[in-house]
Amino acid sequence: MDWVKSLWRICKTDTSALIGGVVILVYLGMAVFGPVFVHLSNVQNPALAYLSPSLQHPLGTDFLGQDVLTQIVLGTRPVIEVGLLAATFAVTVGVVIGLTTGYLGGAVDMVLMRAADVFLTIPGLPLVIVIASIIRTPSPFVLAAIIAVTAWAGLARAVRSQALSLRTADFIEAAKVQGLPLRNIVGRQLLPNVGPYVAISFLLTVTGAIYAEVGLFLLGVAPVSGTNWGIMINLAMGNGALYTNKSELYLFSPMAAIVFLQVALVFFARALDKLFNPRLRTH
Amino acid sequence: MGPGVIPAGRPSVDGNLPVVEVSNLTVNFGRLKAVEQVSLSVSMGEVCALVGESGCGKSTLAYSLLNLVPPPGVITSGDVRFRGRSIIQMSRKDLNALRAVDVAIVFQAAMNALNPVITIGRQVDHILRAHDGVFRTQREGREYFEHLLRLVRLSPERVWSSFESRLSGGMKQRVSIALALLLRPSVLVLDEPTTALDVLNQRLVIDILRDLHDTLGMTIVFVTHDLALVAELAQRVAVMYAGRLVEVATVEEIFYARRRHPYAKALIEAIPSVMGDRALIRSIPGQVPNLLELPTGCRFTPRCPQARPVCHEAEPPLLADPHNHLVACYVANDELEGVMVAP
Amino acid sequence: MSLLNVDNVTHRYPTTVSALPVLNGVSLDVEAGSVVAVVGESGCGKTTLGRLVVGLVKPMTGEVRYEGKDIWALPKREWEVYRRSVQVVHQDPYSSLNPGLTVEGTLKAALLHHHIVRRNEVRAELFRLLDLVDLEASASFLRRYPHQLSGGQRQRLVIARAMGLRPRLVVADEAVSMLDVSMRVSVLDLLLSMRSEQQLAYVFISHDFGVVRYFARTGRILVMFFGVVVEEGPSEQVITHPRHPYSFVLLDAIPVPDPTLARRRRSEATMQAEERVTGEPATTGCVFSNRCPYVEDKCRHEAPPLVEVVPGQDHRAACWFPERVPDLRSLVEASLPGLGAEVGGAQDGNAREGSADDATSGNGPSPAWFGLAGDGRAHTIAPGAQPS
Repeated sequence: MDWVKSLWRICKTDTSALIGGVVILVYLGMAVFGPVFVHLSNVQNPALAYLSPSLQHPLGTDFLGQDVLTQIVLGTRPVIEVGLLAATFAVTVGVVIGLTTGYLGGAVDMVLMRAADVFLTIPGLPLVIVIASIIRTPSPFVLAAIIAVTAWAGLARAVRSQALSLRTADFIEAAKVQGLPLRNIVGRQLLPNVGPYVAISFLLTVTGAIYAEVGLFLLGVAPVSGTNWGIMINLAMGNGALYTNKSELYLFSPMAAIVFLQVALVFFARALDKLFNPRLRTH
Repeated sequence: MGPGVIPAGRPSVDGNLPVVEVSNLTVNFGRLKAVEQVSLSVSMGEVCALVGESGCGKSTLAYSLLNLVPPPGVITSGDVRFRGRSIIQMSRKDLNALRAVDVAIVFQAAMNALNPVITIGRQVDHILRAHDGVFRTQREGREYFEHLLRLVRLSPERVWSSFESRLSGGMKQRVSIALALLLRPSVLVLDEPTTALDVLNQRLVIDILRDLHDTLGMTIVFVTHDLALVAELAQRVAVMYAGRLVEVATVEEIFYARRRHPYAKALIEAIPSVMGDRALIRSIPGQVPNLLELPTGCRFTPRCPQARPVCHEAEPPLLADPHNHLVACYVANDELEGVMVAP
Repeated sequence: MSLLNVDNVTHRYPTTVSALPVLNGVSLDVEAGSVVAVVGESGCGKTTLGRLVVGLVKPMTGEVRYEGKDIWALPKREWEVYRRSVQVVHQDPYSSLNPGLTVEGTLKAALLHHHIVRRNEVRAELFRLLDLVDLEASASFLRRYPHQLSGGQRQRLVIARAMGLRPRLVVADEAVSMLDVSMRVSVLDLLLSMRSEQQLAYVFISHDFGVVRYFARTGRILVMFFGVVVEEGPSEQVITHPRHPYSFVLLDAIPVPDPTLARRRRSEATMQAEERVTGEPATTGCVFSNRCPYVEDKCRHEAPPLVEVVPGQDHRAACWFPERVPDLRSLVEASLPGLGAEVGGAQDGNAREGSADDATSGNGPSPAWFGLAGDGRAHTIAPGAQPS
């Protein structure tokens, strides 16, 4: 496939894109294979709390004496799961609504865009917190859906304006003259043209979703069970990690994990931008 | 100072001196040579046409005259001299003083290059302020612009305070020409001045360019793929094919001479003209070659009705007859006695 | 019964403020397999007329009929048939192709939707279509995107797309205007070849009489001026013997691909170019009255009807004084003798006799109007001869 080759070529010239891509792959690896190879021991020994980094515990231990690195690795899957799901929901809803309203206009457009406006004006994180505290659920799907509720609106508006400008293009008129039905015009004619924007928005929505999700866990709004980075920060703060400087690694490791992933996603989004926009390439 | 008078500070020139000289110019876009070893000189007061199909390098050559080739294009060899001074080696400061003031360009579909959020008058003010040495006062500049508007058959009252959206395509093209002439350049370069215009506006622009040439005595270089336009306007014609110059001649020679490049002849025959024998209209078979996969020998060979075995072997040289009519074709140059190689 | 019929249509765009309708009482008849050309400057309504024929716009008054029935009143089944049978080729090959679709995607879309061929036959059909328009019929070509094709190739692809639906009528809206002059004839030849193979009718819209003449040789021409049909008739007739001042103005404005003739024309043309372009269309009386060189009082008060001006030839013009329009053919023939002498004699020795300056005639402006001199062959000039 040509675009894989182009992507590789871009990564070779742009170091940040390469770094981004590699880091993302590492995280995905941890998410998929982590739980297979790494296990968190059930031994909880407070006497071993906040140990310094060693070969056995490269990132030290938490307040229960359990290995921090193991928890980071195990914590990757839930975070990425919800992040990907939320982005998928948000992007799907946003694109379908955006393209359809942009192309059709009229009453459909008005109603749906007013709805989008409502969601755009309500502050995202507070809304998510409120909903999540009402619907207390450990299911990643529901959590992702809740996060997506706030994210779809901005995307829908942006995609809609692209559809508006494409609507009068000659090739769309030609499609109409050929008698192509609405679902074909939206799905096969308009969609490939907003594809680049959607792909990049997807990545950025993942970053937003991860922040939202981690925030929910950190604040304790989402049920605290299992291992993930947000919960780690939550537990760390709740168990006195702020009051001793031996717990630095335990406190900062999950934060660093989040930050590295986000930065990698942003770098990689730039590579995608170059991929889709030939003018930014210089070969 | 009235129109047509050469402003003080510029050397007065004799009618036959070359005002723009291109020598062995090559412009590369990566591996691709958009313009290859082109030499051409344009005399003072002459109307010169650069002709060819899309992709032959004529626009790139035109941009080179102002050292305006857009990246990733880069001039890799040769020189362009304006009144003896090399444009390629000029400093940025000198180049800025030269552009628009000595040499101006009207881009293709220039009507789309007008700023939509300010009035035409505002744009004129901006230009005058950027080059405040050209006119003694701002007011003088504005008056000259009004004079130019009348020369392009537009009413200054109507145009000055209008936004570009209020003007039709043809009007905008004429405003663009007036803007290019504002700082009194001695050379005007136009890229496809009549493409995108309908036939009445096209006729208007043709007549206007002729009048401008007659009253202001300027040198005009224009790029086109339409030989009818060449017949109407040009005095000298340079034909390009796949980056190379294949013929340089007066307009009469291009249309009437027996010794011509087959490509020039084919371009003329491909015009769907309204009169004349319809049966003689002929399309040119094939298409312009891919510049990355050029055939050996003459580049026009695959499409040429007169191709001979020798044409496949090596690129034909550009040879001149006693009247300096240059043709790069083995078949056409067959009849030349006393071979003169073009300088 | 004609294949397609536009009957006395008047249309206004709801957003414009102009007092004149975009189309004003326009009628058009297209017989199966015939060619009808619509000529006029930009803004004359010809594009709107094309969109009406293709069913993208519903006229405010009047009807558009396909095979005798109003297309806007057709039941679904018959609308589908009409939808397939009338296709369009746009002017701009850079915007009429979806930049996000490959060649294959572009061609396949409608083929599959209308079940023109079965799924397993699609590939073969795609190659057939590419072949039809002289494009490379290969798998690698199918994978290309529009930005990887040249202007001529893109336009051919647009034509292939239109032909895929086996239409019976194609509206070509300035189909070659954005192509290089040297490419135009080959694309026109392509369209013409398809006409005979597929019994296709064309509505050919253009502002360029030269192109129209080449394409619509055996068909009819309609000349439009700001929403009004001012002249219509058989193609060669309208071009050589125009009977409306506007047709004459359009023909006169065409650049002449012959330097000596172009120079002569310039010295003799008395109507300034800007008069032809400026002058708003009139809202009372004849719409052309503000620009007409022969205008009289009557013209400003009463709009002339479209009536037959040449008996028996189905050649109509909307003008009170059609006899004043100079006859182009006789002017050209009269101006040729002088030309031959100046140039130094035709190559084949056709010395012509006659007076040199016969280009003026009668009343009104005298455009020295020409084309390629006589036989259209190249003439030698004696080395060193100066052009006149």
